Order: sequence, then C-alpha cells, then structure tokens
Amino acid sequence: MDQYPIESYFQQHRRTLAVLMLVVSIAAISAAFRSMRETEAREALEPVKLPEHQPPHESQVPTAPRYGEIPKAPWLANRDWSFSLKTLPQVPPDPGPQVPLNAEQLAAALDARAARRTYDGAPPTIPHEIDQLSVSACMSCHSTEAALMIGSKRPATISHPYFSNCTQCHVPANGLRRFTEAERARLVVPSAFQGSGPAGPGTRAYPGAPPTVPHQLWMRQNCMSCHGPGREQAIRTSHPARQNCLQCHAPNAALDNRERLPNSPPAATTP
Amino acid sequence: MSSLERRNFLKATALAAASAAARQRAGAAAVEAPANGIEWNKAPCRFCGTGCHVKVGVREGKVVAIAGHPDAPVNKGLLCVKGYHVGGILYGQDRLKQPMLRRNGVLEPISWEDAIELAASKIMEAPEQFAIYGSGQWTIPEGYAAQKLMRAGLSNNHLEPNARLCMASAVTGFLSTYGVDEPAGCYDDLDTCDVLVLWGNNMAEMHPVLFSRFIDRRTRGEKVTLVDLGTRRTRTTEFADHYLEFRPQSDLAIACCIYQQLIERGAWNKDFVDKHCAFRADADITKPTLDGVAISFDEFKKKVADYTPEKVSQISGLPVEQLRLLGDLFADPKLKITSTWCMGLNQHTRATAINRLVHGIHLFSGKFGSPGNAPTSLTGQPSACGTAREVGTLCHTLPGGRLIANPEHRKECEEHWKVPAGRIKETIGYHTVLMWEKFCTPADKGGDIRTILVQCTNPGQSLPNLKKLFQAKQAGKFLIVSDVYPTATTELADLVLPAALWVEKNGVYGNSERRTQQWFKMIEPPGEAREDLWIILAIARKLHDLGHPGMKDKDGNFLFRITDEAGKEIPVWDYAHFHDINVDRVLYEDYRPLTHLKHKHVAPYDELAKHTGLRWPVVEQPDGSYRETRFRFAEFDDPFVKKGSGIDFYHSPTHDGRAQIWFCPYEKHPEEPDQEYPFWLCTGRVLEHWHTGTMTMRVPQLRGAMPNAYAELHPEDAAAAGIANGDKITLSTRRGDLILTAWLNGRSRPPKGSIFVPFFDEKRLANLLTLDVFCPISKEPDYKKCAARIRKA
Repeated sequence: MDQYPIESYFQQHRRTLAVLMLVVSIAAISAAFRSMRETEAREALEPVKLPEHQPPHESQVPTAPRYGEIPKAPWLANRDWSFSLKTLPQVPPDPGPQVPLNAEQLAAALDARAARRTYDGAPPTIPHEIDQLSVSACMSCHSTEAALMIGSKRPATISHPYFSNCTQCHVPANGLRRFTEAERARLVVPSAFQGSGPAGPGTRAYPGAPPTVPHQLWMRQNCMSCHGPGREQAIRTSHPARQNCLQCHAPNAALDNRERLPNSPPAATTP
Repeated sequence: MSSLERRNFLKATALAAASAAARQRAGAAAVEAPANGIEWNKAPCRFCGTGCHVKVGVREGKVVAIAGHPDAPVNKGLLCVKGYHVGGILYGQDRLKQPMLRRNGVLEPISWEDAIELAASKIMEAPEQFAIYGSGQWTIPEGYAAQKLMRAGLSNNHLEPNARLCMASAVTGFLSTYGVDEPAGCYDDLDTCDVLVLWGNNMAEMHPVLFSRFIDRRTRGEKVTLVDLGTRRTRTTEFADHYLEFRPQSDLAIACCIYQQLIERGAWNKDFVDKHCAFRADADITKPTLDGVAISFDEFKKKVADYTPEKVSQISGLPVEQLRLLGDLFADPKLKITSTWCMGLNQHTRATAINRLVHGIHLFSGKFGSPGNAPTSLTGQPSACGTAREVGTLCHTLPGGRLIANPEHRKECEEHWKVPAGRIKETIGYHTVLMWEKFCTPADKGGDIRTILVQCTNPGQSLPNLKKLFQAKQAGKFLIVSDVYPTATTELADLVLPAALWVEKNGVYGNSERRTQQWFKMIEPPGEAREDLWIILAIARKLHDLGHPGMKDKDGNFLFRITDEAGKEIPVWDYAHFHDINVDRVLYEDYRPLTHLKHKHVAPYDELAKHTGLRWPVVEQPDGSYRETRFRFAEFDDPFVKKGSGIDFYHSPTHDGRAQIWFCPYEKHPEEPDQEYPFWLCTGRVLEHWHTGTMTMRVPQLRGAMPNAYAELHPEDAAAAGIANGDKITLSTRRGDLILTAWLNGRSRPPKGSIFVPFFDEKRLANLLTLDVFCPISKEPDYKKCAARIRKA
C-alpha cells in the first residue's frame, strides 16, 4: 500500500481528473451564469437592497494562506468530499434483530413506495437523473453486493433476476430535467388511471404463525431488497439472518414464482 | 393458462358461439369473486411488433394492473416500460367520447346515426374517389372488413395501411428473394445464434424485450457476439462487441463487400447455393423492378468484384479491418448468425435493394434454414404482419399474399366473397404518399381523392413532408378520422369518430414472427366510443341502404351478412346487436381459408383463444391438435417442404424451389448534405414513446421520462454553431423549420455531421422536415436521411 494513496491516486488518474476538472469547471461556470440569469429575473421582481458599506474591523480579516498550503488546508469545505463510488462509505446493514416500524412509519413507507409505482407490481420509476447510456452505472449502486451509503440513504438493491437492460423497464420519473420545455409548450394530459394498490397484510393461521405472502411476487425473488435490514420501504423482517423466506412464509397460489436466475450481471460485465 | 383465464375463455367462447338468449345464460354463470377483486385475462400488448403477451388485471370495469404473461413464448413474463404501463393508455382524460362534426371550423357533437349517415353519403358522392387509410394497428378482422368493403363492395383499390411507411420494403425484399412474404426464421433464433448483426437497428430501445431475450444470454454465461451496424451510438451500442459506424446510405456498399469477400476467400456455401439459390439483378439500374432478371454466377461475381474492403472503406467510412471482420463472421461455417433490422433498412430510398442484399448474404453464406441462422425483419406495429401483410390491405394486394394484378387471385376472392365476377377492380390503387398527395391537390388539378377514412393511425404527424402531404388539405375534401384521442390528424378532420381501444374490444393481431394472437373485450369503451370494426360495418350497411349496388353479393344478400345458428340474419350494423355474436370470430374464420394459397395457414380462432399465440403455418395434426411452424422452408420443421429436399423455397419467384441472391449496387442518396444543408438528419423513436405518442404521452410515467422532442448533436458541431447543451436551436431542411432543444452527449451520440430528432412529440413535428422521396419498388419513404442545417434560435 502506498504511503500517500491520495497523491498516487492523483498521479495515476491525471487524465481522468483533468476531464473531471473540466466538467466541474464547465458546470460551475454554467451554474454561475444560470444563477446570474436567475438573479436578473428576481431583480426584475424586487430590487435588491444593498447594505450600507462598512469597512471590516482588522481582527475580522483572515490571514491569507500560502498557495502551497491550499490543497491540504484544514478549512477547505470539500476536503473529504468523495467523488468516486469507490470512496463512498460502505456500510453493510446490521443483520441483527430489527425493530419493527410503527404504524405511522409503515404507512409513510408504503406511501413512498406507492408513489413510484403506477400500480402494485409495476416497475418503479427512478427518482433521480440517470446516465442515459450505461447500465453499469445503475449496478454500481443497486447491485445486491452494494452496501454503500449516500448520506443517510441506502440505494434499493435489485429484487429480480439480473436483466441486462435496466432502462427497458425503469425510467426516470422526471427525466431530462434540463431539457424539459416549459409546460405550456408540451402536451400534458391528466390521466384517470387508477392502479391497484398494495395488497395489505398477509393472513396468519393462528396467532404466532408466520404470515403468508400477501402480494404477487411477479419476477421478484430477492425478498431482502424490500424487507431486509436498513430498508426504508414496507415491512422489515425481524429475523434477517434467516435466508430462505419462502420456507415459512407461504406464497399466494396465484403468484408466478418462476425459475431462479442470478441477481448479478456476469463477471465480465460487472463494473 | 390459469384457471381464471380458462374460465374467462370458456365464458367468452360460449359468448361467441351462442345466440343472444344463450349469451345471457352463459354470462349469468356464477363466476366466483377473484382475490383482491382483480380478474386477470390475456392480451397481446398494444404497442410494437414484438407481440409480447400481457396479463390484464381488471377490477370493477377498469384496468388496474398489468403483468408480463409468464407463459408467453415471446416475452416469457418480461415487458418493457411501455408494456408495463399499457393500461394507462386507456385513461387519458381527453379520450374522444362522442362523434363530432366540424361546423364553421369547430368540432361539434353529433349523433352516431348522423355521423354514419354523413360518412356514407360522402362516399356515395364519388365512391371511386374515396380512400381508406388504415393501419398496422388495425386488428385482423378490422382490416379484413375494410378490405372486403373496398374491393368487393366499392370496387375501389384506394386502400392503404400506414404500414406502407414502415415495412413495405421488407415485403418487397421477401417477395423478390423468396417469392412469398414474411420471415423464414423466428425469435427462437435469438436464443440460439452465436452472432446477432443489427442493421441500423436500435433494438435496446425499439424492441427491448427481444433485445433482452438475446443479451440476457450473457447473464446465463453464454458467449454471444453483438455486431451493431449503425449511424449513431445508441443504448444498443453499449452492449455491442463491435460497433461499425458507417456513413448513411453506404449500407448497400457494405453488404456488397461481404459478397465480395466471400467470393475472394472462396468461402461462400457452395453446396447451399448450388442446390437452393439463383442469382438476380436489375436489368436497368435506373428503372428497378420487383422481378429483375436472372444473371449467372459469373455475372454476379463481376458485379460485386468492385466492392473490395479498400474501396468500400472509402464509401462507408468504416476501417478496412471492420469490413474484414464482417467477412470473417459470414465466412466462418461454424458460426450461427442472425440478422435483424427495422426502419434503418426499410425507410430508405434503396430499401428494397438493401433488404435483398441482407437476405442475399445469408443465402450466399448458407446462414439460413437452421435455428440461429436467419435474416429477420422486425416490425414496428402490433399487426403490421397480421393486418397489413397477411390480410393484404395495401393498395395492390388481396388477402393471403394475393395480388390485384393477378386475374386468378381476383377471381378466387370474388368467389370467396360471393360477388359477381369482375367486381374487384383490376388497376391498383394509390400508395400512401400518392394518396395523400392527391388528397392535398385540388380536384380540378388531378386531385382525385376526395374523401379519406382514417382508422388507428395519425398521418397528420407520421406522414413525411407534412406541409405538402397533410397540412395542404384542400377545401372541399372530406377527412373522416376514427381515433381515441385528439391528434394532429383530428386537427384537420371534418368528422371525428370516437373509437374503442385495445381491451375495450375483441381483437386479433399478427406479430413479426408470424404469430397470430387473440384477445377478448374486457372493459367497456368510454362514453359513446365504439369499435372500428362496427364503424366499417355500419358504413357498409348505410351504403347498402342508400342503394350502393356493391353492398350486395350475387345472391342479393348484404355483403357482410352474419347469421346465427338458426340461419337468421343478425343486424350487426345496429350497435344494439353488434355484440349478439362474436363478429371478430365470424370475420376471422371467413378470412382464414384465404391464407392457405401461400401456405400461411393461420390458426383457428378457438385455438388462438387458448394460447398466447401460434406461428403460421399452423397445421392440424392427426390427433386434432394444431402444430405451429418455427422455421419456414426447412424440412425439419416446415410441413410444406418436399420430403428429402432439406430446404425448399416452395413459393420461389422462379418456380423451381430456389431463392434469389440479388446484386444491387451502391447508389447515392437523392439529398446528400451539401454546403447549404451540411448535416444528415435522422428521425426515429425512443424507448418510452410509441410512434406519434398519442397513447404513451397520456401515461404520466412515460411522459415524465421523456417529455418532449430534442435534437441530438455532436458536441463539436454544436460548438462550431455556438450551441450549448440545452440551447434552443432552429433545425431546417428544404421543407421546413423546427425549434428544438439541443441535447449533447445525451441518450445517443450522433457522429460529426449528423443530427437525430425523435418524432413522437406532436408539439414539435419532426415530419415537417422529412423527405417524401421513396423506394421506387416499395414506395416507402426515407425518414432516416435528408440534408439539414442548424443555427442557434
């Protein structure tokens, strides 16, 4: 292991970083211009009042740093900022006993789940912008192996067998934000479609018996992607250490429990 | 079939067979309430030609859920994002719910009775100047009824489907090669081929379920090679092992280069070619014909000799190594190769030529006739094959592969329809571009199409060069449109008829792999919306009542006489009685024997009701069961192949069991970029929207993902024009201008000098820009290439 992993990283990835810097600076410049435009628009509405100018007291003026110190200066806001997936914190979920959600939390979780599905069983829409071309971009966060956290959020893991073409079924709910024309310039028609909602709780043969699976499985086979520890949505299992869910939780006779296929892309295409 | 489906099927067949009284009994049969109150039934998806089967969940008379049908051989339970949201297309809040007539420029409600009467009287004014412009989204019975009304009733051949814009070139490619239309192979080839060659085919977006069927084999550890021949980088390219980015139009030269290499290496399949093939070319290249003339192998060799990798590299812009790679693949006798294509080859000013060449390469290399070896065209519409091609709703065709130009074929149809000899007019009608050109030309200047009935399609958005072919509609012309939502077409319609959509009616579709699929009506259409099939029957009856002589057969009966078991006529033209019998089943069974001439035996209706579709020819077995055919012309699977012949092209254009290997030269495009218009403009589709977006733009999830059209540019071209990502640009061709948002490094990456615009957005009509030059044989226009220029708006 290199003593200065960050430096060697910079050396190794000079080209990537240069491109990245370019992208960041273009983004920064365009953001600056955009904010200028926004400011102009706001100014048109209400003139900005400038505070009266007062020269700062000598003690308030910070000492200018030396240029050489800047890259390692402790006051840099983004000093610990991770720009690579590889450096995002990897926190495997706690496999210990889980505290069940209370009724309010459960209702909120189910609402959040339903908001992304036009009916129960529909492929959920994507709540963020996506890489338009690369599927490996999806898998780097949503694979079953991924344990990374983005802030306090844990990305959903794939619940169905691995199909190569993610965007075949999952599309951004609000895609192309930057390129979306003003609403009046688009065709926007409300829909009266009322999809079927979640199935509700499963039945128990007697108090203490394992509840049955109340919903269709369709092609889902990884129960833990919704019911596993650390998941925000729906019911969390109280016993995540147990692996064979359907051993105890009887599925509905109508479900299509099809052949099991791997959840992961083949080794060659794994990012 | 689940028990529920079986119950529904039994119930529905009972409905179909029974009279009104019996129907009430069967309908009242106790059906236990299903779990969640959701009742599931089967239907093919409403969108593309893949023909996935879906399960439709209905509760309290509304569609509430959709699932991929796990037993469907096409999609095996998987769908695409459009398919999963197909239920939403029924519930856009601006559904057309009552007939409307334009008075003083405004559409005002009228009754169905007045609407049908008006339509019929407009036709009666000049029956020979009436045209029907239908669709590859017509169900088979709808297309068949329109076919019979026009040919046998009105003696009028101005009948066209929008499929002319979509797969007419595939038809001429198949006909001139095999003498009979439609692919020999099927989707099973995607499960077994080693190499898939995509000819200008963005399969990951346009046929995603088929693409997954192939590419997911990698997940299971199989080694498959994907070759993407394209003119821009797409999502498909991301999965490709080899991406061959060629200059538009040079596909002709690339194909010839494969011939050249096979000859040079001595690597063509001599045994296959000697036994089963012959060579063919156009006698006069300036006047290409469907038939051409026979040429010898030596002549063929001489013609292709010019297309060396070095020379073709100059034309196509492909490196010599990539051209040699194609040669290597087709020269390897061990590799199983499947080719697929869709609009890239079909919407082409030399479309028939390039279709022939792809078939030719497969025949010449012997990559034909065994599982995994096939050239297969894909269709964009759910029943382009079923309704446009098999029912024969093109201006020159009759059902079952028959031709209007053939007196024998006309006679067979006249006898089948029990109309007097000579009823079917012997001159062919106007093809799509000509039909709309005539409609947009004043009557005194030769515009001899006066009234058009449009069903299941949106020509106001999908025709090329819209200003000329649609928006120039002349005063005094009458446009009747039956549709489900307001569209660019209803904007100019004089009479608008609200139609039932998808599972609001019975239907039969035919997909790209010869699979016929059937579904039953599951919910009621909204408001006063009615079936397109009923509209045709009602117009026919009104014409009958107005005294049009063609509406009677030679026995004096109504052309569409439908009787109950007791032989009593059912007045199906009266909507109150339209559901007394399953009219779909009656018409389909009337059509079915007509498919036998060219060995396209479609399955009986009641068999289809049991299945998620069967691939024709479907032949009854000694035990009474029905067997479908996966691989045509191959002895091991096709029951019509002469025993012992191995491969038998039994409808060969030369009547000797041989398929034709065509030579067609590379020719320049009629509108190549120049100084004034320096860019290639390509138009096409996106994953989330289906064609003109009439249905999918009404589904919030799909609209959210892809809200409006855009122009994809190469970043360097954009920079040179001072255009940044997200800027408004004006895109112009010689036919019009369009303001669009520029998208750089977006979903697809066009190379320098080319632009892509999707055509789904009715607020930004891409077809104001496109060219109406068409293939001289198939008459299909080229939407993929024309010259354009850009500037910052």
